[in-house]
Amino acid sequence: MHRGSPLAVLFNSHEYLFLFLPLTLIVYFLINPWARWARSECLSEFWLIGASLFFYGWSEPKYALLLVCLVLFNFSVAAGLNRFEPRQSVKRKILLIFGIAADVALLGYYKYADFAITNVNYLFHAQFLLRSVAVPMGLSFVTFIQISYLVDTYRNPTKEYDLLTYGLFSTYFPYILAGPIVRHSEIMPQLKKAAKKAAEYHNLSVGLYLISIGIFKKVVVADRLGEWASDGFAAAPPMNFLYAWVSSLCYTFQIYFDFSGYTDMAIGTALMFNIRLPINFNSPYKALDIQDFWRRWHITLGRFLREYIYIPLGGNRVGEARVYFNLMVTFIVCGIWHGAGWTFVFWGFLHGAALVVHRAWKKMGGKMPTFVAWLLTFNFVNMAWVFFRARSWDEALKVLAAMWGLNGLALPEGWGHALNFLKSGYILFLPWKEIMLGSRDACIWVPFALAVCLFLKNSNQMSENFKPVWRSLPVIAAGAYAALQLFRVNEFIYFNF
Amino acid sequence: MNNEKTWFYSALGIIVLGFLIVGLANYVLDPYGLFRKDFSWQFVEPNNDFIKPRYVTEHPLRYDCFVFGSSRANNIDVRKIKGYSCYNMFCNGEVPHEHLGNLKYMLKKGVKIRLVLVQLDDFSFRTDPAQRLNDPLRHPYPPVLNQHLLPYYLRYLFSLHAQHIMSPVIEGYWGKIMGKKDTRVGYYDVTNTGQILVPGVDKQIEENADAHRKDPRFTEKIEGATGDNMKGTINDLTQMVRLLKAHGIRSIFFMSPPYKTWFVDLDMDAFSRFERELAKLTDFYDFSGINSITKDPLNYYNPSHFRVPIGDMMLARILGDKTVRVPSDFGVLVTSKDVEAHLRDLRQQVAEEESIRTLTPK
Repeated sequence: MHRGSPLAVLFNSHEYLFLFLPLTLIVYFLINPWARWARSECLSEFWLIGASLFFYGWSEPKYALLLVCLVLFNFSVAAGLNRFEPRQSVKRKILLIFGIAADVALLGYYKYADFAITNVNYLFHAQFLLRSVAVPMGLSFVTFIQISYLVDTYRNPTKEYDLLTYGLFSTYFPYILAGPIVRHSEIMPQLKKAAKKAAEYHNLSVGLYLISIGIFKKVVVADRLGEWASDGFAAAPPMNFLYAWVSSLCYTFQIYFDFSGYTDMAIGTALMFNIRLPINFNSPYKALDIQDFWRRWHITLGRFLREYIYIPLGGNRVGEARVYFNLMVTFIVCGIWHGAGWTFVFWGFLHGAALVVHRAWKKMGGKMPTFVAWLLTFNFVNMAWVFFRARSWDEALKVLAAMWGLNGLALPEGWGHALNFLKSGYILFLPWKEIMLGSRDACIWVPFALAVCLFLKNSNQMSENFKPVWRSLPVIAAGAYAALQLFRVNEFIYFNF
Repeated sequence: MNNEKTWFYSALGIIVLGFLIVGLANYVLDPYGLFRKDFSWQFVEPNNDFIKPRYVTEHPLRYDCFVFGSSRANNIDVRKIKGYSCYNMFCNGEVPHEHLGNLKYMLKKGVKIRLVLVQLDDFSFRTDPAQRLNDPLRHPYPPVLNQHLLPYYLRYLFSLHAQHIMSPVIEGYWGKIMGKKDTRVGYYDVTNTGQILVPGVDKQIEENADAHRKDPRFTEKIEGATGDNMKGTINDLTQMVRLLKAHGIRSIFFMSPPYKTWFVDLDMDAFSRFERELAKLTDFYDFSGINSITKDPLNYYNPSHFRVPIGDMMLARILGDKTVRVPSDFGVLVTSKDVEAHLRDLRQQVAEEESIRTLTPK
């Protein structure tokens, strides 16, 4: 039902690009000199908090109120943690557990209640009604940022921060909806620095440059690939071998270009305000093993899982069997965090299992040629994404069965002359149109996307090497072209998590 | 260029210039007719779901009768409905979700309604209404969705619209400015009947009746819509029936008659489920099936769209106008009591047609 559901302010919308961002930026840099002169520097923080709450609450104002409550609650818990002496470790621990439990409960209420009810109904043949509550956008990111602040405060008191700065850190619009998952120690000192409050043309230029790259990745590449992926996953069974591979690869590249495009826009936006965010992607599809992949993919999530789940469980300072257990738990949590569904859990399980196998292989001193290592890693990641993308087990198994050749092999009719000796009940030669249905162009886009991922500089490298020269301007033109394709609004995939 | 300030403003300049050019072109050419008062400058189908709710709510007392439906409903000539001042609200591919939204909005804005005709189609229960939000031809009028107009205008103006839409628009403008002869066979009567009137097409069909009957589109297999929005559609229709009753508005629902090949290629199980559910809500006239009208290509513009004289017969049947001759097998009143018998008849007609069809070489 779409009546009455106003559009959210998304990074890939005209409202954001041409109203919200320029207005917020201009007012911010106009306020700052005046606020300094009037000795009320908190004005600029107020402005950014106001803008961020507007951004977050545009689609549903009550969610902005929820965010405010969450911020006040966690700031109070952190203040409590700061008040206790370090020797009062039991009280501090109880308070920490209370704070984390409340954050997780909130996430559970919005995101996992229906999942739990569905499972209870299935297991006990019960008839509990689903609540069908809409999940506030980016709630998973918001709660992770809050939890990390509580744990960091527990480890090292954070008395230096006031509510206003904490409020801005917790609501800051460039990362509030889909990360990067920031830590207070890398953002709050920047927010406090007066020197950061004057417009810097270098940062404005690089920010605009990154936003242009991001929106191009999202609108021109990811959304296009996404249409073919959606068609493929929704196609009636049985799928053929080639179509299944192309559909799964379309999703593999869609999710990368979508999420890294979003991250480029987030980093670029923050940079325009002179705030540096941590990078989140570093050419993940170049990874040569699964551990390498997680050092390159959603880096700030990997960091969170390592520091707040894996290490507290004992990390790799325990026996080998326990390390494997820790890896599995960490990645199953990673799967659940992404979505309330068994396919997400299984996706996390697969990655955990792959990390266990990788660790065991390394322990045994196993090695393999670089190309084989890349091929194995990339294909594992690609197949695991099938579970991530599929709306059900049946859908995932439909695609995977076809990818493994269980439905036979359909080859293009044109190859029939040369390969006629292969013709059998298993191998058929069909018109290209029947093999690829409406996704024929995807066969060109997929190798192109792979080449871009493997051989071109990523956006971090591009922004680091940025020079204000004429030849950088076509990137801006490409971004403008992408922004002119925004009639069709597609949410970023990670907004759902 | 080494100065970052110069580079930044150059980059902004590129963006602003690009957007100004596109925005200005979209405002002037206005492909979907959002800013237009004079539709003689309209060269492609306007976004009826945007302009019509706006138009009728700007003139709340001008009409008291409305026809809701898809593009097929365009061929219900509202001038033939006597005793009412009627407007055709049809929009390309529109389904009950949009009818309901527009009806609610019109009532909220004080439009006085006495009669509503709701045309339903074999795809009414298949289309996901959310798809229309990404389509400039079908995007609903934002206030109907409780949305502000400004974001939509920004999207509309600052978008590169599809080439197959912009080419005829630019060509049309250029021809009109250069004083070339207008070769359009129809016109958009937005501010009067709400219909696209196509006398030129009717003339062409009648002058080339044999060629039209042999048009291969009438023998080809039809790949109809395959989505499933049965639950949502029935829910929308339920609300619509209640709303009409609550406001004391006379309403008539009817199923459109696609050409026989279209009907034979339908998923009859799904279609039957829809008619069964519909009959629980309201009586309705069903013009679909294989009958003397749906068998003749001359009654159709294409396998989906019946011609205006057929629309006249449908009106005569449902409004009880005896002055128009309507074949006895065209149009059945279906109620909850006889829906099963009616569905059996339809299946029988399809089976018979299929048996003949297999013997007919394409």
